[in-house]
Amino acid sequence: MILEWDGESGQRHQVMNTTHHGAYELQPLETRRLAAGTHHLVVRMPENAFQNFNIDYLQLDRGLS
Amino acid sequence: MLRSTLRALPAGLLLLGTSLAPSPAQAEPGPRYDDEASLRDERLGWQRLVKEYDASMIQTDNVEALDYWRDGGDLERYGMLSGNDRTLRIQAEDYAPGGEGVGYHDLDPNRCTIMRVDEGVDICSSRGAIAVNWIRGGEWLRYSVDVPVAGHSRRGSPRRTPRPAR
Repeated sequence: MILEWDGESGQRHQVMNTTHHGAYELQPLETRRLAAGTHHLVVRMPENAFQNFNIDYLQLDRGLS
Repeated sequence: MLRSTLRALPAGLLLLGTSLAPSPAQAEPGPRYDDEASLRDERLGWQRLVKEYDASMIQTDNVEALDYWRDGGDLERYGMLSGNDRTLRIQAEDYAPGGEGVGYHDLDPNRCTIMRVDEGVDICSSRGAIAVNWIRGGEWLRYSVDVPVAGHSRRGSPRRTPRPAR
């Protein structure tokens, strides 16, 4: 998958296996600085990559810096 | 059938099975007590098994979460950082409004949509987890994210569930 923040295309991430469609796990993807306010995120699935996963939720964890 | 069987067993019951729900062939009308549903609301899973059915042993894929819950942890905050506003969680099914080409782009027919039924995204109950399923190459989802405090954020998709060949 590719994450696009505020119209800027990001890097491509490979989704790792969890053994089963019903077994969900957190997969850390990337770190970036976000200003306070509203941001637009597009989660894009590349056309030329095999897709076979489910997404329950996305999570942002704020660091200390 | 499952419910009546459980009630017939004595306290100290041993439960086997990754999912707490019966298989579709055994399913009976009424609520399901799925493993993943426990992470949304303890009353949909583990709490019912312990309080109503006196279960003393539960087999689960979510061992750490079960341990956290047994220690009195709030499952709604499981996996979140401690402290206010440090973790922001966005449900996959909460993509932006506006329909096809605006909030999402979907290429295949719906198979199990349980929410936003007039739209093309497959929102399914995946063993109790409400999740976006049947994701295909070329599709996308758009989200509006309100960040309350500036900072470096590590983003993950904690609920991704790949498996070969579907």
